[in-house]
Amino acid sequence: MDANSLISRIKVGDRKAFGSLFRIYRPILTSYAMLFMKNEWAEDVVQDVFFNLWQHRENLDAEGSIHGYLLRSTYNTSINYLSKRKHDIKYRSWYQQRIDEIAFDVYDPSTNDIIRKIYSEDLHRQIEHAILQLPPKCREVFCMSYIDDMQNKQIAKMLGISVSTVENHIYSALKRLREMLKDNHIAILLFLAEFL
Amino acid sequence: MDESLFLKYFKGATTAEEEKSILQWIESSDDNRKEFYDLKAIWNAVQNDPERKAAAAPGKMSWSHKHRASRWMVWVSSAAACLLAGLVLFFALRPSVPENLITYVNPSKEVLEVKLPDNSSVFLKPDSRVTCPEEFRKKSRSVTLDGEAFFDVVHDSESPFTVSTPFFKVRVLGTSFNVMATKGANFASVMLQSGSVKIFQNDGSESVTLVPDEEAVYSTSTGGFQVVKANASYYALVNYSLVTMNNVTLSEIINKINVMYGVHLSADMADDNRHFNFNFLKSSSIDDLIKILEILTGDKITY
Repeated sequence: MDANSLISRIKVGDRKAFGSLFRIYRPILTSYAMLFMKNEWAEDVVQDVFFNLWQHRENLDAEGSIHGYLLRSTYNTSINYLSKRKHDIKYRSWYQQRIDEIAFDVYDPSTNDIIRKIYSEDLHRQIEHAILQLPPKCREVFCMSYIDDMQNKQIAKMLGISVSTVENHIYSALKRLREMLKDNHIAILLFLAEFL
Repeated sequence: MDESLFLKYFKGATTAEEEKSILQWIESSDDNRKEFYDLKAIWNAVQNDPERKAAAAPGKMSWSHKHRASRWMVWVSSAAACLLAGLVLFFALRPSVPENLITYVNPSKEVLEVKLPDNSSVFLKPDSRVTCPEEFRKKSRSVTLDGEAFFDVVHDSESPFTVSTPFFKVRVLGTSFNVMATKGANFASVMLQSGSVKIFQNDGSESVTLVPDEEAVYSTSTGGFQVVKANASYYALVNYSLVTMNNVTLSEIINKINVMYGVHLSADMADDNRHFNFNFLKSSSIDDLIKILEILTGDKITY
């Protein structure tokens, strides 16, 4: 179901369409909000985003980009949410606080391509495809770490390599994923995948 | 720049020194900045892709199921515990009285001071909760914390004081220290102001012993501790408006209060060689402070 036709239906009060939109975008927007805050808060933020969308459903633009609208709304809601709770945030250090503050400038969805690309409806497929492109050893370690939630120590033991080698593999996997996402290879792959 | 530090940072396990070097690196060029935050965004997306976790682990429960199952387990195990407790009560010749637990929750925006049955103080942060029995049993004093609190524990070498958290246990004899351990958080910490504390993993194995002005930062992803330098008095003052004084004489305490409150207290003390630990909230009234000081020192204090 394409998102824009869902929007036309939500505009006229179709709760089912709203439910579908929520199911598609909730996990994506929650991961996006988790760039700024912890999990429970991110879930609150996303609930607020959808609550507002429903409240103002008549003003929705069925022709516009719903993806852009939802990211922007999550971004704004996150800023408001954190400013209300700034006393409850515990930073490990002043430096960490500063690093987290810069994140707000950097992750503005209207200026950050990579955010728009990763935190999209295709989040899962994009990552899946990008991981398939990694060199075998690198992919093996990356999958053990991310999918099986294994500790680096465990992975090192299982594969008979050092912990720092494991860390290097994971880090270089991240770097490669970044290159792939940046160069739009993924978009082409996805495009081809539609015809396979 | 050792870039493997980034991963450590994403997992919340870096020290302040490491965070400092990351920040310097980020701020040194736009490319660096872009690289760091891109990597963070990708790491976060992979980490939190719910479909991936569910799909990649067939046979394993997905997150939401696991969550539900664990709640269910709690019900089952508490039901079993009740049954067992009932049986024990039934068969025991002299059934012991079950402990009455009191939970203090701080719903306000201010720090709340809670007095425990042994006269120890707990300064509770907003949205935090501490549970303790109505009366401590002999030979052990244990409380449970979810959230963050500063503890000022009365010394009793016969009866160790234990703080249980979702992640670890902290055991002391008599000290002041801060514990931050909120359920679901990515990291937790114990910061020691005076005395000494031992931190145990929840399985009972001993992990870390701290000396004053050290902080043990616990990463929930690795289950490990990292000990860093800290300034506990400053932390208590900034975060709790709590003035902490260790190993000080009565005249030192009075001088501090006189300066802070702009008053002229004096004490007719027999000797000024005794040393105290004295902590108080900046918002305390001067009358309360005088009362507490008189009880603590046994000296008469005049305004």
